Amino acid sequence: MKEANPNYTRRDFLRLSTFVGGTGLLAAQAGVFGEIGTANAGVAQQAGNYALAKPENIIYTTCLQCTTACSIKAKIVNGVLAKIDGNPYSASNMVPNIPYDLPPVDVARVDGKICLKGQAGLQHVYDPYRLRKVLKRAGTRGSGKWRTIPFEQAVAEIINGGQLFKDIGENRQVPGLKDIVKLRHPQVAKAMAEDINKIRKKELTITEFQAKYKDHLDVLIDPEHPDLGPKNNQFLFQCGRIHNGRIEFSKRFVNGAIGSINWVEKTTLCGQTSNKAWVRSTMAYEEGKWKGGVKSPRPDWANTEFVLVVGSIVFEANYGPVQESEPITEGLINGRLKVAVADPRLTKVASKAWKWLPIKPGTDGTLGLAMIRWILEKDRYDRRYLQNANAAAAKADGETTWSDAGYLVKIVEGRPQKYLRADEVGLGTKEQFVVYWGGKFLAVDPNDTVQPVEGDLFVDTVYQEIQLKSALQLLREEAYRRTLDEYAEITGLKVEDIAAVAREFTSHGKKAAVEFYRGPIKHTNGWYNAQALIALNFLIGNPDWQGGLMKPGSDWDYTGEKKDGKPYPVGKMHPGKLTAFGVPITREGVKYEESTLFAGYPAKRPWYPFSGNVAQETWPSIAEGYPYPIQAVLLHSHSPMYSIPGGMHQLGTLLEPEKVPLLIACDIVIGETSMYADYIFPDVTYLERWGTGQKPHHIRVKTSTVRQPVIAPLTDTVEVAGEKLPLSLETLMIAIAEKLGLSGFGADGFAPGMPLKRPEDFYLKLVANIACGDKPGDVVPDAGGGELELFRQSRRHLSPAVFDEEKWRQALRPQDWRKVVYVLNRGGRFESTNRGYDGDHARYLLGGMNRFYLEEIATSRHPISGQYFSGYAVWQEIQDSMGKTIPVEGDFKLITHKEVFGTQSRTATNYWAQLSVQPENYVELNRSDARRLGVKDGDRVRIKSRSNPEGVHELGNGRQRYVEGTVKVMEGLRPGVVSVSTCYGHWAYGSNDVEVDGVIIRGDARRGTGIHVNPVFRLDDNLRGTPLSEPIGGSVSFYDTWVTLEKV
Amino acid sequence: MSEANRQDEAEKLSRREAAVKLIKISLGLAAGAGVLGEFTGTEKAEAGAMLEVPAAAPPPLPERIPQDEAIFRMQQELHRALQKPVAERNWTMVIDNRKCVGCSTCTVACKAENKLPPGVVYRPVMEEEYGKFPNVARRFLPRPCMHCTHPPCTKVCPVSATWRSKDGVVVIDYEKCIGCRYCISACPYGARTFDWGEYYTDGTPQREKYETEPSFEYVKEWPRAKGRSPVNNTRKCHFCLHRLVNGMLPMCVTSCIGRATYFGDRNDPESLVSELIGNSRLMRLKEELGTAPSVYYLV
Amino acid sequence: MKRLYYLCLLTLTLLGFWALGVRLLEGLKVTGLTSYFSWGAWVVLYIFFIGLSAGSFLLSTMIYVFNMHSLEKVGRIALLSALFALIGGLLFVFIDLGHPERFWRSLVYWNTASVLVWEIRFYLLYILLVLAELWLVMREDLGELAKHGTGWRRPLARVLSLGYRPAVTSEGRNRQQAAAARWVKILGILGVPMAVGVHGGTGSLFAVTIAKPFWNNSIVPVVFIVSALVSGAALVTFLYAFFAGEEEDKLGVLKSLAQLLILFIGIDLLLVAAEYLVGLYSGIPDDVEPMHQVIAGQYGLIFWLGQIGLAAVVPLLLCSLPRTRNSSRWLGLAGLSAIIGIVAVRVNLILPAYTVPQLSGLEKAYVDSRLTYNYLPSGNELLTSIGLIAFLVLLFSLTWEALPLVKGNSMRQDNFEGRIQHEGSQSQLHQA
Repeated sequence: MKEANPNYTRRDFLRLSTFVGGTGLLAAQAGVFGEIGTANAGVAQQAGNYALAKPENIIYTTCLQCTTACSIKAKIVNGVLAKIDGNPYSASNMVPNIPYDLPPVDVARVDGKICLKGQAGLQHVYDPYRLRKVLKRAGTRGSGKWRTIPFEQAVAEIINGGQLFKDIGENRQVPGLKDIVKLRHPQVAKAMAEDINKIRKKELTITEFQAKYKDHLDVLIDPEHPDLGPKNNQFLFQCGRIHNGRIEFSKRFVNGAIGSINWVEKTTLCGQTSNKAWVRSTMAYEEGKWKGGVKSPRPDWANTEFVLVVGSIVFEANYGPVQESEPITEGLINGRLKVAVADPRLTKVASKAWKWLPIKPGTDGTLGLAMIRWILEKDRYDRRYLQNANAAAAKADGETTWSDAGYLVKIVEGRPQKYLRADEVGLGTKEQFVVYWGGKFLAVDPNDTVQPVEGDLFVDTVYQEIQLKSALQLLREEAYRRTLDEYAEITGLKVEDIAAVAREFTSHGKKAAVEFYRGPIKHTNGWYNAQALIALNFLIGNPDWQGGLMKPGSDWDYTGEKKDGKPYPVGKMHPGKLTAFGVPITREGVKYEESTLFAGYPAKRPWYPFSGNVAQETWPSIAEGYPYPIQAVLLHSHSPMYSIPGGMHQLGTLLEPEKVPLLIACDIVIGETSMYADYIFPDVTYLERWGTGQKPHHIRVKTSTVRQPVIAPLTDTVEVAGEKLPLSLETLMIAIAEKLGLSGFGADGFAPGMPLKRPEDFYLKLVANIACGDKPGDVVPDAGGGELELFRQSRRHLSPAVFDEEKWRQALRPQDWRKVVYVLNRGGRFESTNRGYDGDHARYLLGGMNRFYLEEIATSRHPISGQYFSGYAVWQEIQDSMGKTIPVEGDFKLITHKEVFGTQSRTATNYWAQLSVQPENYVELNRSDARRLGVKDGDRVRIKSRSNPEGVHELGNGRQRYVEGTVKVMEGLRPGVVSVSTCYGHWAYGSNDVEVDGVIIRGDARRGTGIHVNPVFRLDDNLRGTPLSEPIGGSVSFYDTWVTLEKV
Repeated sequence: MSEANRQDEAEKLSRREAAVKLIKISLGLAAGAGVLGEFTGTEKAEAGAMLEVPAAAPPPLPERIPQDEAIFRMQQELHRALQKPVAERNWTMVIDNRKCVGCSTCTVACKAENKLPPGVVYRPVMEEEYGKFPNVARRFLPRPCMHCTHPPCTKVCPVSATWRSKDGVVVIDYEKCIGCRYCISACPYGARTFDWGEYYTDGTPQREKYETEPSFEYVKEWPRAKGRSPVNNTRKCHFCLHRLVNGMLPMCVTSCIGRATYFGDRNDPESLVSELIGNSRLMRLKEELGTAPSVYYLV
Repeated sequence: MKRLYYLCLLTLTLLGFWALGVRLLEGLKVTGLTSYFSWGAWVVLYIFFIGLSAGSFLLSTMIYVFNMHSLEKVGRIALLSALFALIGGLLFVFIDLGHPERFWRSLVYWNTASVLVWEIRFYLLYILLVLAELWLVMREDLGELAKHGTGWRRPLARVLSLGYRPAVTSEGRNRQQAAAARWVKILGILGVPMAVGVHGGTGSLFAVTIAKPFWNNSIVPVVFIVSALVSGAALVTFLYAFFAGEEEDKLGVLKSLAQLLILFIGIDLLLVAAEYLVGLYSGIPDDVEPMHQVIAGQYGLIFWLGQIGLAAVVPLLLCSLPRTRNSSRWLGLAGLSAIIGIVAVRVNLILPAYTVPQLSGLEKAYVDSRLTYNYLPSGNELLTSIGLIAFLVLLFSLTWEALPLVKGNSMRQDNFEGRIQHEGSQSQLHQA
């Protein structure tokens, strides 16, 4: 591997300085300042002393220390990443950001902001415990004994299977991937996929299906249940913080090449219910279907006057401390902004708030309902906005959105069901709804931009013998079921505080909003909490208004599939692509009632038609083989044993070769889950690889970040099909595809003669999609000669395994190269922050309809309890999957929180940040509780719960420890609540000793400090080993566990 | 010679070197202080001295860089100040506590920028909780070096290795510093820490390269190696002088996610810091000691 | 016995030098010090030895300047102790430097505002002065030894006498003695302020530190001097009691010393009481907290056992109880007790100041093992300290053996012949 280029001579250096100086001079002369010539001469000398200010030492890329995906400026000295700062081109990291067309040489001396995690990123990449070679276990799973084997051998073993662990006394026959990837015909796959949809809709019987595919039934997991899909589904890819670009790459492999539907990510551990609730609440009705929707509308912090933050740790987590902090602090000191925070814990943002509402955990929606009641009673909602029932009415009022407030919902058997359609009462078509206005029932097409229709907000009537209520009427009835005093009792707040916040919220017109993300929704009632808080926003009609609720500015379509005329629709450029079909192992996106496994209620395990991947279901489902067993798992960048509440209870499944015959991990270290694997393939970190980042949540302009290698990879370089590549997830997938002869990879991966043999063959096309824009003329300029030279110079330290200009060029059409360089030289493509607004409105609009009522939810049933869901916000106690209320089972409610320096499991490497800012986490208690328990700062306590009565953490192979931590006594926490931050208490990830090739590698105890509380989280009594979960969005419950503390 | 042999040889050699060094030092001890010093540490300390010489100002930022926002304004003001002779600058920091979100980004950014080892921290952020539930607040206080107008630390230095330079920055000449740590005891703000020669990866399988790469403090390169300054020296915040002379704001200023830290030339009446200093919310730490810090807080 | 004694000292010295080698190679990371607790055992020993030196010297001035004839016999011990203690102090400050190889800079660069820099110059002058005085009081004996000595002592004395030879006539010798006495007195007079300066100045190093309210107190330099006097008197008492052999009126001399010791301890206690009572009463947190640490906290044991017990109560009792005050052995032990006790005094003068964060919450703001307000000396610190002390004792013992110290010509006596005989017998005694 080539280190800092030894051929980089003094002459090169001079040439470079000349070039840099020259450009700088030109730019400067364009400026208004005098005496440039002499000043510039001076700096040439000065800059020699400060290598971090030299443009040729800078590569812009994208952070991944958390999932916000800030754009960063990596400064490299002597081939070593020396410093990370924010990228001033990006609106995420500088406000206002630098004009996109300024040459990089001119902005080298401008640093953007980036948080402490981002700053500590080099300790993530330069981690002494990074893996460089492939490991194969040399003892039982989790024994901590490994040996290194050549990559080629490892790939051959996992493909061919066999008695892979004979040398350590296991005579088991391990299935190889070749035994799993049975269905190889794209046409058959496509046809089967279409036909099982028919089976679900009862348009085709199983017998008919079997007859049609009698020659191919052997490819199915179970021919009696063809809707489970092909055997290929028995390959599971489970991933965590994978991010865009890599998502598409790995889906290309898992779905398109392997043909498995089981590409499962971890979002139910994060804010999935929030995302899904927002999406549903903002969907449009088109062609008889609910479509679209926006997952993360957020307050326009830069202009808002009042925000109620519910359970979001705005300065510390919440998708972007870097983006949110500045407009908030600025607003707070100049008097523009007032903030109220509802959170059991005094978060940093709460400490700056006008009012802190130390709410009881799990009652966020109730606070919402209480405010809704107060607002409706006092008539402080935006009636004008809410009455608009379609696009035309909204437009007439200068609004960009409207709501379903007046839409009539049918009440059947005492239960609200679907919206009344106009055709049912002879008023119009089946794609029209009905409102009541001026004493008349009117048909309304929500998308009609010509004929304004308005509707009464509170309707409770019978029409043509159909009992009808308006959507807002339903919500009002729910809100009015309890008095404010009762709400205060439930939430543990003062009536006056609730009223004061409601009054403040309704005192700023459209310039107010409710912000929430993960806090309110990680409860079994999370969906309804989300709906209540979303409803508050709609009540003041704030969507799209400056200072109100706005959607993220979004990004340019990097996949090339969403917009027409893009150069590289990579998903479609996949000859021989398999259509993945069947039921995912985690059963999301499919209705239980439509599956051939339907056998009344309760279902054996839950199904999630409205959710994305349900991470916490993965391992319990594998354990029970429901809906089918899994043969091979490839784990990547996700640590279920560490991250999933109660994940420990599934450790037995991982350790059981019968349940998971082949367990492969692709990881940067030996982590808390990869430690139990059969093989670990080294991966590269975000600073050594490609990607396209993630859309920022809190930015109002278009932002497309690009992640690209900034240093030579630390993993070994291997040769795959004649190409030298660093070990990584991509290399592994390319190698497997090559060996197994899978589609979409190799010499003709994209098209005949268009190879996918190197990661950049794929990723550069994504970059080109960004460069070429989303509509004609929306193209970045070509990089000039100077920029091309800078591009080369700044990559002079990269090994040819990563950077070979000729190979990079070959991945693109010739006309795209300079555009791609232009984008890479800036780390992505960024609109200027001043493009965020259009008059009083956002430039990028949510638009469309906002719903208080979700008919599709209201007509679905919980697959376990069989109870119907509610279509609107309701107050529901914390309950299990059978609808049984969880009683008070301990002295404290356990909640978790995030620290600004920590994310899930991967910040324990950050010696500068997490390990020094706070070397261990604490069991945080209110002073009154501490006094009652007789504990003080520094005491140790053990945490026990009903699901873990002894507070024991099983680590496998007979190892166990107690869930014990150090007490920290504070005032800023609601009494009766105990809070523990996540991201500590490691038992792997470099914190423990491991044995590789017979050599003991000592762990670093600093990385294993603190307490890890996941093992005590409350499980669902009806579902073995699964934590309590929210049944609609699929979120796992994090804050519903009662615990008891015992002083140690 | 086989690889293993060569390695052995190399180890032997290094052991021998160590022994020789040990002997040398012992001899040095015996021969009396100074003699050895003449041979090993003779390179005249220029680090600080060169800062006194007005450096040629770097070119200004391109005109099209936004002019109005605080961060750009301060960078422009910085350029303006750099046109003046050193003695006419008076670098000043203003920290708005109400804007500080207590994230410690400045702390870590500074650690990274200056390649600070364990035991050395220039700008920690302190936190205090006030009040009783439910009337509670948390307050955050970043603490850089105060760059006192009357620094108690520079007075005590026996070798004049630390002083307040003409532009108001309290600096240390690493190559002069004998490591007596008197200045550490003398600082009422705990702003001076010592470089013990440790590495964050001590005790792990590998020392990482970023730990030995040079820092750029005081406009020089300081690769990190045993016995070599700044190892075994006192270290402190220097307002990122190396960035200042390159026309860049201190690291804690540019990295701050709450934009709570302001920096500029107090002698320039038009500067943002001058504007902010005329504020009723202004305070300085331990004002009663008469140190007259150049770091102000808005509370 | 003697061989064992030297063997022990040599072993400890070698061990200490090995540790010192490690320390010089590895730098200060071998210590248990932190960036917040930045001075420790070595600085404690540095001021202890400086104090010992100043105390011993001041004791010698009682004889040579203030004409306390009862103590004449211990004059040379006091001067020699002053010399070696000072060297010890300087050695400890030297090894405490992060860059000891740059020590010379402290002589070349003169920051006039720094107390330390004045102190360093003071130390050097003071060494010269002590050497000169020592030479003057011993030149007669050295000259004799150079002429009439036997074995290796003769060439040594030739070198050390710097060519000085006693006059042949008694008249001439008297003249020489008078001249020496005059010079000794002059030097002694010069030396008083210097010794006060040396140690009072060392105390001022701490007292001027506004960052540490525990130190920042004008009584501190005075306490330094008085406790220096305690340690000086105690050292001389101890040495004279145990190592001077049988001398006439030994008990008488020791009793005089004991009286001085009691006086010094009394003043010391008074000052400490004043310091603590005023400090505690005033109640300024940064001042009170270290005092709490001393009286009832982590330094409590050192305070009550060391500072109050060994340095005050025990010597006071031993010097005043009828059963012990008439025994040179017990008085010697009183001296030893006070010496050890003064180490505790030094510990409690320096270290408690580091237990209070300069700003509240600083210790939690950014944490690693070098950013704490806790300190325990490391093995290396202990080994080097023991080694250096052993080295000093070794040198002192050798000097003691080589030079006429105890029954030397104390200016007014003229019995060097007898002394030489005695010297011989003493050496034999030692060899036995």
